[in-house]
Amino acid sequence: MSVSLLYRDSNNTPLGSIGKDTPDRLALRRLIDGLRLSKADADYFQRTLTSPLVQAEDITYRREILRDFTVNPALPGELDGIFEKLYRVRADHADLKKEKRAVLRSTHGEVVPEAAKNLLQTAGLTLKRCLMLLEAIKRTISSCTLTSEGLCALQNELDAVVSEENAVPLLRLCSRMEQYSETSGAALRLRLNEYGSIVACDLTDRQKIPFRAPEAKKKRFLFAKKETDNAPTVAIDLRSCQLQKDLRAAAMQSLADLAEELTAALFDRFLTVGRELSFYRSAMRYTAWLEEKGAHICFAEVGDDVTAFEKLYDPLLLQTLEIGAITPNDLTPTSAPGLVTVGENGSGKTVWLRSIGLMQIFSQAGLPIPAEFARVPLYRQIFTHFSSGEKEFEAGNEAGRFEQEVREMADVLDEIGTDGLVLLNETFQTTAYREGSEGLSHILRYLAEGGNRWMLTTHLIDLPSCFKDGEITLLRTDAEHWVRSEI
Amino acid sequence: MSKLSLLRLTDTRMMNSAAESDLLLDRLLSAHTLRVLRVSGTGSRAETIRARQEIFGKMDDPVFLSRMVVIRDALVHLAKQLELCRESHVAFEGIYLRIRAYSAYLDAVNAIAASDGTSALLCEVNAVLREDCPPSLRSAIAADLQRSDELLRRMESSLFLLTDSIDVADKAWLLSDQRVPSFGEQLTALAERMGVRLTATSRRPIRPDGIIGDAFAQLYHAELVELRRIIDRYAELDLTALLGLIDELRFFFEIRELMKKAAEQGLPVCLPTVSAEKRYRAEEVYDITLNLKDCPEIIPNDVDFFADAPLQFLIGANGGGKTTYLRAMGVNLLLFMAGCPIFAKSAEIYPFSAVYTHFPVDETFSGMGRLDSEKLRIDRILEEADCDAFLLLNETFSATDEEKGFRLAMETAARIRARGMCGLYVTHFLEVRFQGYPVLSAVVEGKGNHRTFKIRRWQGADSSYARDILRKYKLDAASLAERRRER
Repeated sequence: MSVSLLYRDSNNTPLGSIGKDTPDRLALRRLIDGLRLSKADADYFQRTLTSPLVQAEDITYRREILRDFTVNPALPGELDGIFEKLYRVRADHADLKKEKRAVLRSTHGEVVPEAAKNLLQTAGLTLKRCLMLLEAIKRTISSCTLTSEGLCALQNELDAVVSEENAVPLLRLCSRMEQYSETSGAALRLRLNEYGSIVACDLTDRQKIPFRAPEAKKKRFLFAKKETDNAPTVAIDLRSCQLQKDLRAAAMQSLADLAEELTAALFDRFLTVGRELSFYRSAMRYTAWLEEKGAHICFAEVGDDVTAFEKLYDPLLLQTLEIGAITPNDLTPTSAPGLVTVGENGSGKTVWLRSIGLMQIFSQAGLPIPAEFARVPLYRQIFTHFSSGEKEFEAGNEAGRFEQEVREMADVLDEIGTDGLVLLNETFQTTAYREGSEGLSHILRYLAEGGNRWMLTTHLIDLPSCFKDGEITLLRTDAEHWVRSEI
Repeated sequence: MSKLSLLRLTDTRMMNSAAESDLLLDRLLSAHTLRVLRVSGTGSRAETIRARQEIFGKMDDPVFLSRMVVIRDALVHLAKQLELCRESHVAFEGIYLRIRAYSAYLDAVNAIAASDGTSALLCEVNAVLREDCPPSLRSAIAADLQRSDELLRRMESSLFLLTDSIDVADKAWLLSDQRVPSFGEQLTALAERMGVRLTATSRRPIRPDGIIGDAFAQLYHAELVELRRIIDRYAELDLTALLGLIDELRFFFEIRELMKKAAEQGLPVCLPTVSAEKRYRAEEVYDITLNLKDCPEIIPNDVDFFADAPLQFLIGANGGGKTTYLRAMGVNLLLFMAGCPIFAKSAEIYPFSAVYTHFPVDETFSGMGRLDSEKLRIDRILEEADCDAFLLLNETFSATDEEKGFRLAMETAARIRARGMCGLYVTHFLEVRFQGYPVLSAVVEGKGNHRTFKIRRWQGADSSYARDILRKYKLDAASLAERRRER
């Protein structure tokens, strides 16, 4: 089992999902791009953010690792450097392997001895490099004081794999592969199958065979210790034996295959961690940026039904405006299934909805948010439904805007299970408002009855009256101050 | 022909060469099964059909079926062993392979013997086998093989070691019974300690050459001398005599598989009754070759040819299923004649001597026009066929004007009737309805002339409903008039 710095259980950590268009609608990529990460890091960061964690303990797991890295700020960089080398070893090896395997067989399909030798030497060298780099990672981690479950697990795993009793004989074996030649004292061990064919052919240490050739026996000293009798023996003149070369080539290939398999297994087990470091590198950049902006930073309390926050900033606005020019928002604790926000055009309804969406996504990734306090439920699915006017001009799309909205809404309803969140922005305003309100209220109630939450910004002023007490929390924007007040 | 045969095959053909492609049999069946369908059995046709039907019938019994599978597998194994023997040029390996071939032969003989008494054809095979390889000989072979196994196992359980060529005087040494761990085993053990389970790649066995083979032979000289003695004891035994049964068994398995698939689709399958009178009666017969075209629904039809109506004409709408009906009749008739089950609910069929087909062919530009070519082919069929043949004529003589074609059709019909043969003649010459021959017609229904693909004994309408197809492609009179106006 491989150690993961992102998932407490690398194979079974449950993950939620985010609707296809949601990252774009919440401008997530724009926010990430503002952090000035490399493209690879930005892609990986976005991929991780859009696979939300759904269990509080999984979120804690990431937060602790992030804290360890914050306490040991040099550690990520040092680990990055070693993992970089490990990646390079793998890439070089993949190229070499491809190159050498291409010439491994002759046009008649037989293994070419010289090519097999090269393959064996390369396999030995790569395994050796891999082991040495793992040892370097182990040393680097051991030099820090760590408390997080994830990094301690990595340390334990490395201790077990590159322990002295494993590493020393393995490195010795790698050196023999690396320096292998016809004169390096390796014999061939053969086994026959039931048809008299040679079914197994392996390289063996010649020195360990208790055998002396008859001619050599004669030169023994008179009082030398008596040797055990040889097993049945036959002398062969191998000079004209082509098969011996084939057997040796097959044996070299077999050993190279095993070494490559072990190397690949070690790469698989540890290289994931190298990739995951990228997430923490990005997270640290994000946190540092928030601090630079002077925003309060907190980890949201997660896990119950209540949504609440104090002085929540929209991170996108933080990218473009000074903090003093932005009005943060509060939400008093609410556990109503629906949250309806009404208000004038340009009063910040969409920004409000976006800041809630981003808060939810960052919190479910185990990351801090720009707020003094926050409390959020954990959702299994996060969808958005934003009104759109462009699709009607797409080629081949004959549906009107309202039909498109309805179609998209049907998709959301098809996909959503329970414990989901739907963020709706001015939905169903492309038809008669009264009909839009009525139609939408049925859908929103359907969502809530299925155990989901929804948050809507709207101009459908009739809509709130379609709900009973306790079904929704109704908010109104204050155009002057962008402050929302509960109605 | 081998004396050992499950099918009693002769060289007498049961169909003309064109029938295979006309009836799509070459796409439905493998080459070896087609070979069986092509020729008749020895002796009474009815008796051979019943004997083969007996085997098909018993294949529904799991015990009998498993016996057949065991026989087939044993024979295939024997064939493989004999092939290996033929390929081997190394004395040491040859001994191994010959012993394995004897073992495979004995397994096959015993498998066949276990089926003795289960069906007439298997009894015949066993009777021949009792002469070729009597029980006393089988016991002797079995005892010798047991001893051979002991000898061979000694070598299989040994590990041989081939040392380097540098040891002494350019000589290598082959040793037996060496337990030195190979580098691969050391690597695997170390990987296991790291929690990585390596799987050695299985490689193609390498056959020994003369030099290494001789060395093995020297190491186990005594054993190989004894094995050679055993081999020489049965040198006169013809191990290849059984191999002819493989294709014959394949025929049974392939036809059974075909029937099984049809039954799984809910299509009826039956073993027809062998009629003493010249008759072809079948209920719900269908054309299985439609499956090759992924036809969503196969419509069955009834067939009834008897002494008073031996030659029948089939007329009707284009695309109404006439050729399909003819093909259904032909395929099922040939299957019956080969002793197979057929694709129908029930049937009673006379063991006709042969099936002849006459389908339209493309212009060959061989110096002979299409009509002349058709006439020549008809003449040849009528020359070759005996009175027990069944003729399937598809739009014969359509390569000329209606009057001439009709006249030729009537002449041919008269010749067929005079010879006492049976046949089906598909045609668009509607005048055949008034010539005293039984007429079948493709049924269409409703205003839209819906094709039912049902064939009934009735005179039919005075149309081939070609207008429907012309209208579909806007080439009917009304569509052409519309085009004229638009031009």
